[in-house]
Amino acid sequence: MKERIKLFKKLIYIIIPVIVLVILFEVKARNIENGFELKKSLFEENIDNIEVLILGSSHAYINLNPEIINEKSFDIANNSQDLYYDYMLFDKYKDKLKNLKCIILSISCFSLWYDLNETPEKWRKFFFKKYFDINPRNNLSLSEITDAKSYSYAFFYRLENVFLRSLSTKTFSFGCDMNSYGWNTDTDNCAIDSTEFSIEKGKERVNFINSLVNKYNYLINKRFIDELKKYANNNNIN
Amino acid sequence: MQFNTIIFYLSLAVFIFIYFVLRNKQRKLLLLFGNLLFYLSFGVQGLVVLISILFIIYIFGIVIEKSSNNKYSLVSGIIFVLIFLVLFKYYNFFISVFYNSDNLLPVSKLSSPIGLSFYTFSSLSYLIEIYRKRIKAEKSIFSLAQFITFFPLIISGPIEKSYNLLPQFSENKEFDYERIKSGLIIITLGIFKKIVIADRLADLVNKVFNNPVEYRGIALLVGVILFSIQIYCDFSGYTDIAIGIAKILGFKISDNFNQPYYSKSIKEFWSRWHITLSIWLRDYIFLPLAYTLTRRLKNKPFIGIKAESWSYFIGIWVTMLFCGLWHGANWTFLVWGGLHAFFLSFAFATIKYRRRITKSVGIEKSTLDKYTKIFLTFIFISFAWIFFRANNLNDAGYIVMNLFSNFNTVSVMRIFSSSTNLYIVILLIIILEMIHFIQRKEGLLVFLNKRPLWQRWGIYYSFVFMILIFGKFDSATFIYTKF
Repeated sequence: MKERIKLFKKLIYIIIPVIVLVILFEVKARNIENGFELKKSLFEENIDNIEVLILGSSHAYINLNPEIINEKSFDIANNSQDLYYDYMLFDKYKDKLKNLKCIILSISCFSLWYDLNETPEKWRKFFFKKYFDINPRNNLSLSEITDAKSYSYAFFYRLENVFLRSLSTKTFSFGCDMNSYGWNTDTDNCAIDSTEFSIEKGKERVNFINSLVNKYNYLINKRFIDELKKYANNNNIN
Repeated sequence: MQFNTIIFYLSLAVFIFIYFVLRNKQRKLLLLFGNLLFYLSFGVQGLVVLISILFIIYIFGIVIEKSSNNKYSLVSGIIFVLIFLVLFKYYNFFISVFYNSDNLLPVSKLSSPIGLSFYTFSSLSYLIEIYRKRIKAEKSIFSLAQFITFFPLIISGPIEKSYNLLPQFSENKEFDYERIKSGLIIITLGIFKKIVIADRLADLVNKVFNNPVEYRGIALLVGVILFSIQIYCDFSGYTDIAIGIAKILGFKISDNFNQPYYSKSIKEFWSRWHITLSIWLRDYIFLPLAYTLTRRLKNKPFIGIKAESWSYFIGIWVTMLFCGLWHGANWTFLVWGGLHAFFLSFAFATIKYRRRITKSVGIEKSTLDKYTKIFLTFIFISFAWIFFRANNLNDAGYIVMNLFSNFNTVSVMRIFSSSTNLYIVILLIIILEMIHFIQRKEGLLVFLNKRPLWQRWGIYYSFVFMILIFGKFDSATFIYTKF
């Protein structure tokens, strides 16, 4: 029995500093600025004046700059954002968008068959929940429930990045390269860097896009578009 | 449930706690239950195959022992066991090679059960050892099931010989603080190798090998060397974890690695790399084949070449091609095996001349001679790894043709993405080499036990924090679990 208690004590000596370290990292990680938080604050700051709202995935986030639209516009699109989150974001804020005259919903070749939950980018659900209080489309899977990244910022950013940030004087932010209209200003954030274009990369990209397509998502995604159209028609929004 | 997932370690902690609370008899039941549950976590299909093989070797073990013409019983047993391996792993390959057809049996469309090659080899070893009268057939299917399904080894070995492991299941396992402590240290080292070094290198290596045409010259060279380190850390890391877990449970498992990249020849490499597979191949393929050939040739020269040379050449080529094929049904593995066969044959044929050269230059048995040999062996092994890792022969061909075509270091930085990443990789490799140095000098456990308390705990904390901070917890699978 003595030996068992000795082992138990030693394990505690190891585990306690680990827990303390993780807590310290978690505190540090929660102070890292991220794009979801920034977009939310910019959006809510301007919500009363927004006349044109841009929704969609990275294709809209990267390519539709509200700055060049004459009316006061905002780009709430985001990387990998699917039609469910487009609709839920709109639904959450529709009553506050008092001056809204036009909705631009970007539909990409995969949009109607695409569900964020089925992609490697599904970790984004954590941020939609955290910052916009939007629940995921489906319940979390067992692997997501047991994945520390679903709860912890430190694990999400990776402890290594948080650690290196602590050592460095450089600022580390996550997806914060956007102008005050919510448009992406990070030129590296492109699906294919045109300077490195090759047939292999093109094929790789096509395969990736194809992997996003699931025919069973069509009906439910179409319903989100119909709901948006219905609301727009009833409220004289283009 | 892989060895590099948090859920595995949480389950393992609960399992070990219950294991040592129970009495010996109940412990054995718990172990069998744990083994089956662990394997079930990879799918029901695999468990069905595993249990089928278990019944086959149980029955054939008894038949081989009792039958008067036990050679036929052995061959039948081997065929029955190999059917699963052929159906799940090689059927598609052979059909595509010989018939250029995609006509697949329904079973071969299923994915191969995890660890199939490993427990098939353990099963074959069990049958052969009964035939050779080195062990007796196990009368209790319960004990045999413990051996075949033992969870630390079932996924990627070591391929333990039945006469080493089987008797250990009937021994009483007591709680021993020192044994459990050393088991935990070995597991920590394994996790460090796997999730800190191998998985970090995997990201870099995958960039090169998944898209080799994007790289040339020194970048390809760096990719190849990094893969040599990755596969070592990945597989030896797995083995350390397996040995550590078995040690905690009270089992002594054979070593599978002995710093293979410090080998002075390819032959020595195979006595330090995947040792249990090498021994398996030596005992059950190479030696029987070589002896048979020598006997057939009646020890007389054939076409001016000694009988023992013929035996070695044929034996080594068959063994290494088989070894390549064991890793997977792919031409890349066959070429890898063929290259090793060529290196070994070449070394065998030229040994006298090479000795003469080193003697005439005056460096025989000198430090320079030793390190030159280590360096050249590493180069040859890394060269062969190109074929092992490449997605196909075309990619491997491209890498080989372009290894020395461009020495622009800018492309190397594309592999590492940032200078910080490069420095971290260099630092980790230095730490790995320090561990190797300590292991060579006095052994890690002895070294740690000799340190004063503050140093020992400093080392423990450093490794735990390094795993926590620099580890990749994204559940990348172990390379050898595919085999």
